This record gives sequence, C-alpha cells and structure tokens, in this order.
Amino acid sequence: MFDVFLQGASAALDIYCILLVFGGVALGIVFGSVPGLTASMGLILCLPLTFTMPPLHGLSLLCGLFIGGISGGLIPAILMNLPGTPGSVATLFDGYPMAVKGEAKKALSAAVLASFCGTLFGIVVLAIFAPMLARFALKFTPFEYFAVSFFALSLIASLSAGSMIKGFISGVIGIAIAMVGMSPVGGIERLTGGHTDLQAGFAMVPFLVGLFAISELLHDSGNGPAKATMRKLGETTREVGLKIADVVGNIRTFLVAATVGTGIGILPGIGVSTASLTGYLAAKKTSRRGNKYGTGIVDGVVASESANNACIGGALVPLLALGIPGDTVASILLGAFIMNNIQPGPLLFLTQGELVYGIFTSLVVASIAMAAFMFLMMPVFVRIVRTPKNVLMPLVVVMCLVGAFGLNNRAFDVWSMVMFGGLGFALRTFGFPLQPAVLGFILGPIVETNFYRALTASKGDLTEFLTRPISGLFLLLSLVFIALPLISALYTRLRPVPQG
Amino acid sequence: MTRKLTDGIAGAVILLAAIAMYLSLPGPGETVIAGLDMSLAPRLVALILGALSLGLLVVTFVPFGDTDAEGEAAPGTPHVAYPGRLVATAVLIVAAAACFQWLGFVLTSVLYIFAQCYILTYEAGTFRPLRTAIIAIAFPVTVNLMFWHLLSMPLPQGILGS
Repeated sequence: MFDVFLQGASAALDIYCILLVFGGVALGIVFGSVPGLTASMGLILCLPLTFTMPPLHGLSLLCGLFIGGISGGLIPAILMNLPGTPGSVATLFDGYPMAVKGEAKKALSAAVLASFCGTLFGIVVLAIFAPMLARFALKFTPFEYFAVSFFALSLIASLSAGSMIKGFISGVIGIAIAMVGMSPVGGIERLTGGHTDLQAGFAMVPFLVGLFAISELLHDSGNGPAKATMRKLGETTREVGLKIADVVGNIRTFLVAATVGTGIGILPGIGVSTASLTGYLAAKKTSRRGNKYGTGIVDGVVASESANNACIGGALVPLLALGIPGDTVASILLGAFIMNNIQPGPLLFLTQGELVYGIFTSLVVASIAMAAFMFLMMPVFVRIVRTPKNVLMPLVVVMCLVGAFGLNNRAFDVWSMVMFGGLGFALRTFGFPLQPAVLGFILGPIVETNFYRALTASKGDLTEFLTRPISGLFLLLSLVFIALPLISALYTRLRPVPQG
Repeated sequence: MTRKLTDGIAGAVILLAAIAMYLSLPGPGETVIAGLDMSLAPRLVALILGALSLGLLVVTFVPFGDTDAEGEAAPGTPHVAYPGRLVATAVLIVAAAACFQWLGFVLTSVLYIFAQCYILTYEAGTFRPLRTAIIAIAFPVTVNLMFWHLLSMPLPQGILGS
C-alpha cells in the first residue's frame, strides 16, 4: 500500500501537475471572491480543459479550483461584509467587525490559516476513514437528516445577541422566505401570489448579498461618514496581524469546527454553507468566549473558515468511497471521473490506488498553494479597505448587481437582492440580528424536505423520529438548546429585583 | 421614537405579515398528497411567527418582573442621522436595478457609481468629479470585459448592445 501511495504522490508532484494545481487555486480564489461566481461555475468552465489531460492532471486542476473557490469567499466577507460564496457567510459575522476595528490583516491571516488547516484536516479524515465514514453516512435516513438539521436550527438562540425573541423572529423570517415557491415535496405552489418568477423561490446569493452588503450601504449612507470607523479601516495595514497566542488559543475552536465541518461534508446534500454556519455555532457553544462571538473576535473567523474548508475533504468521502456526489462540486468531479472512464466507489481504492493517493497529494499541494497565494496577496487585499468608503461601497454594489444577475441570468434576482437589502436594513434598524435569518434560510428547506420524506417513509407516524437513536438524541438536544435559554431569560425577567 | 414604540411597531408589522402568510396558504386538508398535508410546514411557520410577534408585543407593553433584563438589552432605538442621503441611496439602488437590463450593465454602473460616490461624500468640497468619473467608467468596463471575454458570461448590454 505504501508503494502505491508513493507512486501516486510522485505522480502528483510532477511539475506540470503542480502548476495546474496552482493555476486552479488562483482561478478558484477569483471565482470565490467575486459574488455570483461560485466554485462550481469555475469547475464547469474548466471541465472541458481537462478532456485532453491525463486523469490525475485534470482532477488536480479541478481540486485546486475547488479549494480556491471555497477559500476565496473569505476576502470579500472580511473586507466588505459581502459573502463571496454562501460558504463564507459565517466568516463575515466576526471578520467584518474585525476589519472595522482596524484588524483586517489579523482577520485575513486567521481565516487563511484556519482554511489551510481545515482543508488538511478534511484531507486526513478522507485519507484515513473514507470507506468507513461513507458507510456510516449511508445509514442516515430522512429521520436523522431532519433531526441533525433541526438541531442546527435550534442553535438560533445562541445567535440571538440581545433580545432572544427578536433572534427567534429573525430565524423564522428566514425560514418563511425560504418557503416561497414550490414545496420541496409534492410540488405545491405557495406564497407566490401567482407570480411565475417566485415559483423557483429566492436564490441564496441575492438573499445573502442583499441582507448584508446592501443593508450595510443603506445603514452607512443614513448614518454618516462614521469617521472613526473609516480612519481605522485606513490604518489597518499597520496592524501586526496574527499572534502566536491567537493561534494557540484557538486550537480547540479549530478542532470543534473542523470536526463538525467534515461531518456535515460527509452527509450528502447538506452543503458547505450549512457546514460553515453549524461549525461556527458549535464552536460558539463550546467556547468560554462564546458571548463575544459576532463582535469581531478571531475565534469566530477561525470557526467558520476551518468548518467550510474541512467540508471539502468530507464532501469527497462519499464521492470516492461510494461514488455518490454529496453536492454540486462533487457531482462535477464525478463527471470528470466518468469522462476518464473511472468509476468512483468501493473498488476505486483497490483498482486505482495510485490515482486516489495522487488526488490526496494534489489536495495537499492545493491547500499549500491557497495559503501561499493568500498570504502573498494579503497586502493587496488589505489595500482594498484603504479605499475611501464612499468609493468602495458603490463598487461593491455594482459587484452585487453582477453577482445577483450572473447566477441565473434573471433580472428577478437583482430585484430580490434589492428587496432583501431593504429587509436587512429594516431588521438591523429595529434591533433584529441578521444571522438567525441566514440560518433559517439555509436550514429551513433541509428541515422541511426531510420532515416530509421521513413522514412519507413512516406513513405519518411521528413517534419514529424519537425511537431512532440518532434522531431521538438530536431532537432531545434540540429541545434542551431551545428551552434552556428561554427558561434562563424568563427567570432573569421574573427574578425579584434587589431592594436598595 | 422610543424603544418601546419601535418594538411595538415591529411586533405589529410582523404579526400582520404572519396573518397574511397564514391566510395566503391553502387551508388544512386542501393539499394532501399520500396522506400528508403539504401546507402543514408553512402554516406552522406562520403560526410560530405570529406567536413570536405576539410575544414581542407582550414583553414590550406588559410590565412584569425586571424590565431592564433580556428584552431591553437589545441595540438602541432606530436613529438615522442623514435621512435624505438614505432615501437618495435607496432610490439610486432601485433605479440601478430597474435600468440594469434596459440601459445595460456598463451604462447603469457608470451612472450609479458616480451618483452614489457623490451622495456618500459628506464633507463639502471633498468630492473629486474627475477621479470619480475615471473610476465610474474604468470599473464597469473592466468587469464587463472580464465577464464577456474571460468567463464567456455576457452581462446585459442594454442600449449599447443594440
């Protein structure tokens, strides 16, 4: 086996292959950092290029694009409060406040390091446990999917800084928005008011971009130049960046978030945005500094970025071990395999061991390339925040327009982005947190789909949700996570006021 | 506006939205497929939203216990220092969305960037029209070329394309 590994590694360390990986990563970072361009778009555009290449070279290029595409989203998230990819949405919760505090360089360094380590974590898990984990993931039925995603949804309470009831309302608004269109099971039209554009529902990019970037612009224009904030943004290049204490202090955060990210990546159909949000929430829940998440601390950036990059290795587990693509990118990679007459599955490790280990090596090279590119280009990225905000924000809005339109070539998406910008502005003006709305929007459809699938399987019997061990455990945990903060809030409100 | 009033307005608006959502959905039993009511989940969401908004109204207007606690810890009352600029920005964004296909990406973006830069310049005499014009033209043209030629993803050309 070691011989096979060495053969695969040496094939992947061929200079031509390395150059392809570096090229793929660079292109992926561009695709990830521009809203509306996604890693999957980059892969689709480059797929025809791989037709004439040897399988390992083609797959290495695509792996580079995958890693670059997922990681590139952190740049606009931290510097402009704009999620470059849906997977980077949790990064802006702490990344942008850090940039506003003048710590853009520190936030970027932490994010890149977390992305690098997260990717490696996912690759190690993939290399060692792929067949075993893939078999475990297959045991997940809609009952377990429902329970796990409902559990993630129940963590809304922990995102509700300030008024908990407003946090819950924000989360339910997100779920309600995601329900517009055809129902995921049964195809019933709902909340469309008869408009055909609404039948397909709201796309994620216009929702996220509107909610964060457009509402930010509206907020800034209504509240003046915010001189202190702008001065700090300008001073950001003088900041030292990440300190060793920041790295050491976040090892636990990294391990929690990366484990959650990999775990979610393994489950087919959940996606990198859920991994990022759930990893962030899990790290927040288990951290002693949990109450400071969302205010601009390194921990939050590390949690989000390690989770979304660890998801890469996780997403490849069912693909390589079972031939089941877990998400869009994995589907494109499956296409690349099939075009080269390679069938991923349990026998792949035996029949094409050299190729598999070559891909693992290319993934490691790609994560090194990603970190190298990001650190080399960091002075350029940081200069973005030195651009006067009255110039930067209109350019961001133009990129938002492109992002919203380019996704499906629909003017409707541009309008929905504008509408969500207004909604985001209204929510933040009236003191409602935005993060729960994102959680609701992303997880709502997953919860609903699996709820109906499970009910169909059990012929409407609800008790099966509780009698299955994994499902029952997660539903119990959900109950605890929803009830505890509510009881705590009620106790605080009803406790006797000390006299004197 | 006081905090109590804004929370009251928010609660009332959300309650109305929840009622509208519930009423716009098919009633119980109207969308049953294979024994499952497919409108159950959205109706449940509308009910939860209504209940939560009622809860917000209750904690806002019914004084009980320690009123300085949970419900009052949220960010302060809404305040907009420059309402004129806010409205102008909102109008500009809506106009940009409306003109996006008709005028095309490049023309819309040039006009939008120039106007928005002007609106966001708060200190009198600091607006630099020439620099702004160069940025307003160079940026959309570069983005358009990148999407058109490098990515083969054409953006709307509008009147320039005809």
